[in-house]
Amino acid sequence: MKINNDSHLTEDRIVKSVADKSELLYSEKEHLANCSVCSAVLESFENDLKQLAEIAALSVPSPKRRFFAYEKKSERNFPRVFGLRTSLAAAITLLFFVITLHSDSMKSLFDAKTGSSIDELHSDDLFITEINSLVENALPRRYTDIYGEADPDYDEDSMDFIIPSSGNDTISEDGEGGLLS
Amino acid sequence: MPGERLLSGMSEQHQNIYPPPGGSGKASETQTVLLAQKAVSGSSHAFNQLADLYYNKIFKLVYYRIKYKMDAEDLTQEIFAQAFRNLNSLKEVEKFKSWLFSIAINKVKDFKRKKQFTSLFGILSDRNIKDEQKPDTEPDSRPDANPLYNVMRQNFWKQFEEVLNRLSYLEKEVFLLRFLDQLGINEISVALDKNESTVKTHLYRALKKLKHDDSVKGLLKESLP
Repeated sequence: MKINNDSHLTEDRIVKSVADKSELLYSEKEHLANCSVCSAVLESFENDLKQLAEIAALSVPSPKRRFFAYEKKSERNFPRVFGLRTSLAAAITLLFFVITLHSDSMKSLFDAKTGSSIDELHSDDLFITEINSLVENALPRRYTDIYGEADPDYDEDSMDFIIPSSGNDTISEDGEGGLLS
Repeated sequence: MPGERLLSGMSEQHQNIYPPPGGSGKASETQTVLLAQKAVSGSSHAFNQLADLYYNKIFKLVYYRIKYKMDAEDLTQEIFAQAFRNLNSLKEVEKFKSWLFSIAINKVKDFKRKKQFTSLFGILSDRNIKDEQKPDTEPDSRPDANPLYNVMRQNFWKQFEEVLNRLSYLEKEVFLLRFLDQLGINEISVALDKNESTVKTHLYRALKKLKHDDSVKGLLKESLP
């Protein structure tokens, strides 16, 4: 480090000066301005670095392309909450639902389905009525006609006549279990 | 042509296309701030003007670090595309340059990391690992670039890489940003997200190492006429 005008700047101070001139003290700057030896050393080092930079700059090939930025107007004018693709997919799905719900074919499909279910309900009612009447009168009407009683409230005698009870059964004498009528 | 050197291999006209660094000035800074303001408020035209203004600087920054033209072209495009997409994150338009350079540095870092990862598993698709390790071998397509210039260019980058390999990552980065990319200490501190004293310390260490390195002198002797 420079102490007085007789001693030159050290190499460290010269390097510091090249890195940043403001690092030098006032007295050092003053010495540099007056001392041809120190200023020559500093100049030589700075020149070397300058030449190195110049050669490096000249040794770079020239770029062939240039950059061109395009303004995306749609993005700037329309603030997007979701991405463009998501918004588009949502819009298409919504449109699809609206069209399908309001189309004639969908309406007729719904109408046909409703009509057939009403018919089914009606036939079910008829079937239940028939079952109930059969529960009430187990034998069809023509059987009551056979035994001459249109009235289903038959008496015991007539039933015994048509279907004899098991107490009146007679076992055959041969013992083979055959029924004697 | 035994005495011909790298600089004399280029014509005067070529040297004018690539003026010596540091010629931007105050007017350029004002223009950058004005354009950055317009770009942040949504003008893609203003951003395109900024891209024109900084395209070569960013391309050079990338090339200094990866030394492969095709990759440097792709990365430069990606850097500007990313900057355009993230313009809203630029809080101070005055710091546009540092902000753009920080994007570039991070992009290069990502690229190198990715390259290391792929070479680790041998998944290089279009070039083999040997080619990846060599500096750019593609000849310069400029009409005034003669074959000797191309040879010297390749030789320069090879030697320059050897010189830089003596520095640590941060020393190298600070040195490149200060002397090759021509950024100020303040701009470097913003671009690297480090405080100014850290930047100065690393720059000082890098310069001290290079001052004692004879290969820098040798490199200059070989390249200059």
